[in-house]
Amino acid sequence: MSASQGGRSRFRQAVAILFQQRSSAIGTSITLIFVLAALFGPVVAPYGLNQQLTSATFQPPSLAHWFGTDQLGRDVFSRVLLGARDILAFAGVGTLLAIILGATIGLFSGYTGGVVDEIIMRAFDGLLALPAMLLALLLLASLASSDLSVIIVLVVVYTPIVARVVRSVVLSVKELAYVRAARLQGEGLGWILYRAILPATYPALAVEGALRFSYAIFLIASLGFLGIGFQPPSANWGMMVSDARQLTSAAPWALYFPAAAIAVVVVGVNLLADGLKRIAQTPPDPRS
Amino acid sequence: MTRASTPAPLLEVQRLTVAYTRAGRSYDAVRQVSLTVQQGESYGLVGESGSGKTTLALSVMRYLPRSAAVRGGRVLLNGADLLTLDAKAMRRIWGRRIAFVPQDPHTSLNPSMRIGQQLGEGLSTDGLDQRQARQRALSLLADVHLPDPPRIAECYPHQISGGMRQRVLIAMAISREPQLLVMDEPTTGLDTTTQASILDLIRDLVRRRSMSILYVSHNLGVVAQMCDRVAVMYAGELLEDAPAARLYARPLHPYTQGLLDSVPRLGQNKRRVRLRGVAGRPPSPAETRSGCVFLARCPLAIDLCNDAPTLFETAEGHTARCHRWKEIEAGSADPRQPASRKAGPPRTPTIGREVLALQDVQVHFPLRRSLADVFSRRIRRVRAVEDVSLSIERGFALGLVGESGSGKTTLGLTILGLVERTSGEIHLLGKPLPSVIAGRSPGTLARMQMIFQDVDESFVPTMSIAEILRRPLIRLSGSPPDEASSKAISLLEAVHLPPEFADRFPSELSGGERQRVAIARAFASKPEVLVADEPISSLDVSVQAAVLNLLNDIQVVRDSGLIFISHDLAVIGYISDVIAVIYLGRLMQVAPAAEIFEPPYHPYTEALLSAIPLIDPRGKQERIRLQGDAPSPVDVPRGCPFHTRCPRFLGNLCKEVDPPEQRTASGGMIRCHISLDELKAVQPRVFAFSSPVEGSG
Repeated sequence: MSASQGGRSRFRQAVAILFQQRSSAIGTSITLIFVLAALFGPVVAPYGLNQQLTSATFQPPSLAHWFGTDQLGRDVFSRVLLGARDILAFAGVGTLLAIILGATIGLFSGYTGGVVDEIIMRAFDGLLALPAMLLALLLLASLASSDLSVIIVLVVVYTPIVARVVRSVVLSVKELAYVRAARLQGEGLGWILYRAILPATYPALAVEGALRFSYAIFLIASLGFLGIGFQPPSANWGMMVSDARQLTSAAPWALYFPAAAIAVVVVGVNLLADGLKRIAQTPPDPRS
Repeated sequence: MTRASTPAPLLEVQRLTVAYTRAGRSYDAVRQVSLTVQQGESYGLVGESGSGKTTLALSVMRYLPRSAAVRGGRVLLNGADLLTLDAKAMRRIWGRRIAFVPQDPHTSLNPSMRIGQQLGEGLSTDGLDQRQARQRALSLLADVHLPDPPRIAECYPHQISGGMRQRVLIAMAISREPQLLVMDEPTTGLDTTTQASILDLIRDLVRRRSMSILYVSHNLGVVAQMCDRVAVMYAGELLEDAPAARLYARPLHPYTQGLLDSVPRLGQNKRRVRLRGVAGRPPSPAETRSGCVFLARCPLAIDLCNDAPTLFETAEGHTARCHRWKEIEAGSADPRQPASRKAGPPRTPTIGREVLALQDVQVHFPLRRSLADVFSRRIRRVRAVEDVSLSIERGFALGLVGESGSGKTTLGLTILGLVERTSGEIHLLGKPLPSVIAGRSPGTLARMQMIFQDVDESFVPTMSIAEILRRPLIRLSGSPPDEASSKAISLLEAVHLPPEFADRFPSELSGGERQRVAIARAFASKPEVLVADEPISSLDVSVQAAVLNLLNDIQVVRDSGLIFISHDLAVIGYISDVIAVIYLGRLMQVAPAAEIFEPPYHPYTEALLSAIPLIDPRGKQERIRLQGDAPSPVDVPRGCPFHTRCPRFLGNLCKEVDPPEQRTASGGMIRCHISLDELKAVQPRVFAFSSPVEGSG
């Protein structure tokens, strides 16, 4: 059996596990829908992001405006749909960078051990002692408010968490025979870390990545709600919730739909993470 | 209970079939197995992993997991079918009629409950009040020969040793005087010396209480020593069932013969005898098969074997599932290939061929200091290896034998530079060797390689076999990548694996095949010295012989030095030219292989030899048992480290003075205060073989 066949059957098994249980099937579907929305939102959105229909302000949900319109006559459905791209892209890029950086630091710190490990981990303990939100606010206060700074915030907030998770896997793997064998055949640090040890962390990384992604969405939305980070005219769901707060009696839908979008995607990605965890715990299908 | 004059069997398993369902597929783990345990009989069930022996034991206990289901058959205890009883009725059977001793003493006791409480809990359901239950618990602890029962009763499981925990589990099992004890590998994972005293205990209990035992094990020696009758299981079927003495002396099934030939007997050496073993790989449970289950690996298979054989009664009380048993009994069909005499005549170490020399090597690990230690300025150290001096000749094998915690693995890792030595010198081909790998050149690394104990953890799971074998060729031998690929294939051929294996992943190989790849990897860089750390102990018995033979052949052909680390003196005696016995990091005895089985021995060697379960029910053995457990390497006793357990303890001299290294005529060493002549005079030969040692003449 060749490598690619083995890999493909493992992938099929993983998909089967995801859709076996209803919760992870729902989570996976939700995540897929939102990803599709982010990819194709501009194509399918009936109205523009800031297109104002002056004749149709404060419209309740209807066939013409599924999610209603707000005080400026903007179509809430289109805004939610178009908002998906920004929030998912930023959360995704931030999470990815945090995973890459965190995995690298975790691998190095855990494998090296000793004083280096001690210093890195204690520094991260310090960062982790601050609530994520507070840390984000502190950082944004000292950085120029830009798209880049939102990414920096995500990386700073999540790198220590990812590093810890990776490090704990490294500690359990680094005394195994195959790492010793790699040292005996004179492999360099990079090879040992990335070729020998890193694959062992993939399951943990996948789960952690999904979790961080959902929290990143939440954090960006929260920052948007506080009016920090993204600036109008971009449509951050949190910002939309914040704007619609004054309209709760006149146009509650303008509040509910973006809020629901945040809640649904966060729950969906979390359910997906549970499914990924189950995949990680399932041994590969025995071959007969 | 009244008994008829011809005793009715205690336990009868009739045509039992048990199936597991996994990932929607179901397969039989036990198929149509019948067996009978008489009153007061010890019945051994031998098999490799996946043979179904544990499943059978669990079905008897009604302890099967949810994924397993009984598909047919009966389990009769005193004539009543246990499989039809409900949970309430079983509760009256468990403990009182049958009891279970599990394999793992580490996970089988509640860690948050004191020993006395746990024992008493089972007893309180018998209507004993708290004080009575406690009294009974204490007397049970005394029954299993635990020292100071009141103290043990107050301990939590983690505060006592593995051997002691196993005794507690036995005490629990016998607490309500059951008729039948079902034991699942009760001594696997214990040290040989601990195992010997637990086996003594079980034998003693059985005799005194006339209990019956269903004893499940993969260890042929333990079963030979424990059981009156032995059945051999393979791939879910019972292949042979006979009185122990008969089964070991005249096995009729080719598999039984293969199993018995897979392990070296005491006193056999590779220079004289080649192990035979069983060809092929053990069956995977998911395989569908027709005909004889052993067909694929059987050297005697003929067309007839495509029809599944039944159990033939070959003699009174001896059954074998083989079409050709008559020919085998008559000797006209012999599954054992003629034993090819070992390549090369016996050689004796010659001076000047030394490849590796250790001088006063010492390895101490500082224990992670707690705050209290900082204040008391006391640094505690694990003294893993103390002043070890050894040398290894080219083409020869040094066996390093010791129990767990003896420092044997640490010593191996220190030689390879995976563990830093505290002091001492190591010379490779006369040149001093830097302490750790970081200081060694690729050329030096190439000269020393290792085979690891755990075949599951020996390879990066995401790498193909080809890649695994290419790396040392590229890194250490400087082969260009394209050349490395073809060399990897020839390495596979050298370990008798087909070239297609190059594209496979470690998880697709069986344990024996993986260990062959490990051997190929270790020899890829043409090392001068190879360290093999328990290379066969994680393998199934039937494939051990092939791996051991392979390791021997390559080592002899390549003329490299071998350091073979094991807890098993029979295996060490087989593979080694020189044997070093290590206890608490110190060499107690060094001797040529032939001499280790003859007095004078170091008293510790004597105890080790006496603890080996002989694979011969009729073999006679001196009984020397060590008291208590080995001390921790953090608190190595002063004087002779062995004095706390030594059966030949002299007194204050042993307690206070480091014993001298006494040289024997053949260049061996015994570290003891008792003079060699005196040792020789007082020590009996530990063994008296019932038949002359094979190949020694």
